[in-house]
Amino acid sequence: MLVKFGLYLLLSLPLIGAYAMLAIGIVVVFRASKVLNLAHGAMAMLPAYITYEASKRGISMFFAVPLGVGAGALLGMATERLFVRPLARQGATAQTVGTVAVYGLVVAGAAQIWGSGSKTAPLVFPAGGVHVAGALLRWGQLGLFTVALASAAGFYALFRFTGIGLAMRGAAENPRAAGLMGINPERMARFAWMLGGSLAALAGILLASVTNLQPYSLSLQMLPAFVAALVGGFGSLLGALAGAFAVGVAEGMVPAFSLVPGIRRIATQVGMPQLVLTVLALGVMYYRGSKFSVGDSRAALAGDADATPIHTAFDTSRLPRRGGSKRLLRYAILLSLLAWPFFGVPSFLHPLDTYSLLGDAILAGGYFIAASSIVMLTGWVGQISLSQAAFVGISAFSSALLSRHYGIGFPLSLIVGACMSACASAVLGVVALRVRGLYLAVATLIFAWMADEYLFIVPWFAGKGGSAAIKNHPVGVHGAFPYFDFSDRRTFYFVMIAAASSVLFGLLNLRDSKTGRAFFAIRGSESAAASLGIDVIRYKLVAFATAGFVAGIAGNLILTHQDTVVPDQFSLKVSLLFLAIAVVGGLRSLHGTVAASVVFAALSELFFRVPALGEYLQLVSALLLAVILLVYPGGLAAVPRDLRRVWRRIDVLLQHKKTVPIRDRAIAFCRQMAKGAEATEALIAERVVAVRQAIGRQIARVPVFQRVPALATVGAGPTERRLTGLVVPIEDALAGPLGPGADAVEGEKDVDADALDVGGANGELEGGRKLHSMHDLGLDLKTSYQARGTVIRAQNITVRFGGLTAVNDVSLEVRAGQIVGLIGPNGAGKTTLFNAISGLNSPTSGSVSLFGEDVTVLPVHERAARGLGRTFQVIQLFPELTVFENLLVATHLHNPSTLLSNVVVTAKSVRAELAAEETCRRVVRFLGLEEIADRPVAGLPFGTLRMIEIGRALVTGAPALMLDEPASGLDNRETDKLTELLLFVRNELNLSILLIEHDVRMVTGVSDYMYVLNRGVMLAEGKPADIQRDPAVVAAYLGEPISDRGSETDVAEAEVMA
Amino acid sequence: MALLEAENLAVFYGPVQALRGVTLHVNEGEMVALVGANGAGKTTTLRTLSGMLAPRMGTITFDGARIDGVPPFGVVERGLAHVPEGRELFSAMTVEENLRLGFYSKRKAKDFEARAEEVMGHFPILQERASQAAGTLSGGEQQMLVVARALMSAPRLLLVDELSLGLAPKIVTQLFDILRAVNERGTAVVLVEQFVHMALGNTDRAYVLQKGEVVVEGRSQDLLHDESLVASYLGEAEMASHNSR
Repeated sequence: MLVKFGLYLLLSLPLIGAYAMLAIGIVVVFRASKVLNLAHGAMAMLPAYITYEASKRGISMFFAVPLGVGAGALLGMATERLFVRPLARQGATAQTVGTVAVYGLVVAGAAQIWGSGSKTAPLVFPAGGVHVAGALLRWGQLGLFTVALASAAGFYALFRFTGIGLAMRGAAENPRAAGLMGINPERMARFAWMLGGSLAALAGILLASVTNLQPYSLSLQMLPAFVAALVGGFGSLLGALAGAFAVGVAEGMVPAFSLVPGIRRIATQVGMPQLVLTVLALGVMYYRGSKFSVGDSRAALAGDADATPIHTAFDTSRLPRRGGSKRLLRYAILLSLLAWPFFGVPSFLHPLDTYSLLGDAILAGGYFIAASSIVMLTGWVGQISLSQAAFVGISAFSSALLSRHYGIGFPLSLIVGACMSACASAVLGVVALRVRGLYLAVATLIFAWMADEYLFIVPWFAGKGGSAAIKNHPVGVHGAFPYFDFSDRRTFYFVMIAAASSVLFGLLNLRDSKTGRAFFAIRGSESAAASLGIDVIRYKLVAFATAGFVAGIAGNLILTHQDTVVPDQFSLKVSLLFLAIAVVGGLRSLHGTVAASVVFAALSELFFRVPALGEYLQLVSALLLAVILLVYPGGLAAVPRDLRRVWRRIDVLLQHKKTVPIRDRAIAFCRQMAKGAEATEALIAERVVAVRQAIGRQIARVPVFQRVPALATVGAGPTERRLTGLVVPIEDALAGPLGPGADAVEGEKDVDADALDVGGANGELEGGRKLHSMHDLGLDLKTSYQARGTVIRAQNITVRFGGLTAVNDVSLEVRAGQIVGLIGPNGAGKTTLFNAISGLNSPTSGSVSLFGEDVTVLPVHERAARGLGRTFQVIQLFPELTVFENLLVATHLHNPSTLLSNVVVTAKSVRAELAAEETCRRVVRFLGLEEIADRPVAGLPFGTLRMIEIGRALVTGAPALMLDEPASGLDNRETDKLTELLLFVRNELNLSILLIEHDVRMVTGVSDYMYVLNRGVMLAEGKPADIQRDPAVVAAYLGEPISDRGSETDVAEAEVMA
Repeated sequence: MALLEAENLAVFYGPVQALRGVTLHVNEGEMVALVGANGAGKTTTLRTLSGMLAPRMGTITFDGARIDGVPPFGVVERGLAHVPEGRELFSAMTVEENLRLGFYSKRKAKDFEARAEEVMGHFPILQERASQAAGTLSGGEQQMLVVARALMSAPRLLLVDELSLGLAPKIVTQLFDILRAVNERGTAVVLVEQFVHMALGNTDRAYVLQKGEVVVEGRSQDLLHDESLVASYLGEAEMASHNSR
């Protein structure tokens, strides 16, 4: 028996080899550009076909193989050049979706050219082989393994011993530092893609020569390779190699356990190796997940101005809000959808008949429901999923299972099936708690693979014979009125419309509710969300379960409609199709997704009708995805907005040709910038264009009938704002960035544009609003803030990171109604102490109590719930939400509504919503943010953002606030305004504030008591006046040796990272 | 003509203007300090000089050639090295590999040994740690490695950002001694430092930045005895800017 085990091991060598090569390529690319290359399988498959073609034309393998490998390198380079780099601005998710587009294009293209059937690939190594214990090990198989080992060794040597390898490693580890060393990180990334592509090509060519050539199955070999890379930790070549061994051996050896009597039946089940590997991979993620974060910590630690708070996502445009007038339109559409089957197909749609149009509508509805689960999970919560089709399938197959075993039919099976999917999705959600971003994408990918290879095949779940069926029971009595036969297409059409519109409205309600805001908050910044009392773990699980439930609805409906389903309907390919639909729709927008679903359904009808188009459907949808991603990332959802914008511009051009006299001001500005020296003509011209752009953007916002007076006032007076809400602060525009194209007012830069027209708010913050009005408004808020005694108490806090002691035995205390300042030089440990108090990191020893209650072990959101609010050093607002919505998120703790009441909008949830909005309106008035309340925060001026973040903390009603460097980045006037605000909230609202600040003038001005931290220890505490005179403090700030404090060695130990 | 001349630099982070017309110069072999409160634009200035940030306006001339808008990897080759804030080591790589990467812009693998030996003369402790991963060094050793790595490219001008960050005074003194030794061999140094006395005590000339502008410029010795400057660090910021010049 041992011999037989050995034999199984031997036979898994080629698998190991192929996976090793693929996994190494994946890791090399990932390390160099932090992108998950889902086109990796395509980079293996296409070169195999090219080699096949070459050898068919009589080219010897000696040239054909290098040709294929070269093609792989080219494909890698092209992917980097055409997709990965251009999409970098939109973030890693978009880049990953970009590689999905490449995968789709290449695989569909190959299927088009060579057909989807399998072909026999040319042999690379001689035929024949060696016989080992009665089994034949072919030369090709041995060769594959050998080449894999050799290329692993080659790559190792390349990275270890050559200059370019060293530079690539350096650029992968720290691109910024690499640039300072004279290395061009972009070139290194491109090189990595070429290497990854060529290695994938080699693997593909060799693998095809020992198995066979088929577009899908060959390209899907990347999935086990992803598992291998993951098991290896996604970091090193050796890890990838070890992972490949693990995966290959598991795949080869699991069947060997059929030799062991007890578990024979289990071991021989189809797909068992995949199941084992999936469990292995998800387990690895769960237990080692926290070690996987890539580079994030550096950005979080940096905490300086270039860690820009506003990150771009797919579409930085504002999220749609509920609209009153649109509601009517919505009902009209719904009504006509319900009505038309009774009247037949309108004449303009001929030659389509009612029957096929009903089918298309059903298809579109199914697409929409499935894709909307991606919109929710990926677009709103930011959790990328590549396995939604698997959840659709789980519901379909479990519905069939219910029908088979218990005779449960349609309406009931819908709920049960959807719940099954919700549970499965929640399992992935548990993994998602541990890993972020792209690692989650890998987890979902692997899950999809497991579903394909095991779950939808194994008889106990999927039934026998490769398909699962449901027996539809008509509801009611045939012939009498309430009678529904769900196998009738017309009846089912109504079911689908009802389901799709329920999903649409339910999710729309969800989006505009407490739950939806919590989702967006988590997406924007998990730590900020937690600081507002949102239980991040719970909401992530809720999001996964909800997405699974929605996908499950689609699965059950598909089954009910078709009576039978086959596994192929839920494969990875289909998951990627759903993703494409969501991306084409705009990824955030449900309405856009409705449109995209209709487009895709129409496409499939078109391709069905026109035989000449044949199988181009796959190719066209991949192409559509690619084009939308690269050219129009807003997707279909952005079309109405852009059309409106174009129309307005045309309108402006038709009505006004008048320009504003801005040249003189541009010259003055440049002169001021140049400190008296004459500015160049080019510079002046550039500034003039910048101002014109700003004005153009403004005018586009003003209603047509108000434009003439608006134009007349632009640039006329000192304030540059009057009338009609037209606001063009010319000074800001002068200093502002230049938009794309000399005269453009286009979409991409619109976020920047928004920065230019908040002069209103700017003016207010810079002292326009008087304190007495602040007083009147602020008093509204007073009732919520009451506290007595000691509010925050930190005792003997010590925080160590590895061997570094960042904070050493520090205690501090904030009493009710006090402002307490915490100062100290850079790296003194202030922020570390802050995080220990707010719960972002846990102290190594010591305790924290809030209002007398020990909270040392409580998570951030629990501390927030007990009345601790905070702001962050690097502003952590939610960039795609409006100012008002940002504040609304902070009402989370006071909103008692539940998930279900948010979906169906109960009276209770409406009342809670109204109360929340009222609170926010008060804070908006209090801070004077009315004019910008409905603007997305992305692009607002820095000082305003600081105010909004403080406002958000005020909305929580927390009686204790912790502010981390609120004055950094503010100019003097804004700082004065901030000082005024802090004093006001202390005096009138009785809030207690713990304040980290570098601006010593400001902090000594407002504080009742101060602590000085230096090198992780408390250097001094006392009244501000005493602190300013304390020689030790002066020395610490000015860098004179401190001889009288602690021994030198102690201090040396306390080197600090903060 | 000065080795480095920067004129009217205006730099933005999104909508925030970080530098408002900064003008400064560094002579061959000179040691210059940039001081100022947190957020004054010191680090931004260094990043702009080394190409990590592109100025929206203004020019930078190094050794007679314009380098504004040139990416960092192009700037290093011309002989301007930058010791960034927060160390930015290749922490998973060994000390020697870090030094090799520092030598990358020279492109002559053969000369590595000679240059390394010369640089290591300043940092005997690093010699002992050559095969250790950079991330496992102590804070002071890491800071030494960053300086050593920058020196590997044999720069004519070295920009040093917050050398003292999180380090014990003894080690900081040691590092400043090394910088002075490097400077004495002809490399010009610009250093950004939050501890004013350290910065002024070790340099020839200094610029004081405030809110993105140069407010004071002068000989370090003079500034060191200017009481108002000290005051600007512990309050009364306005006074300082009126007093000088």
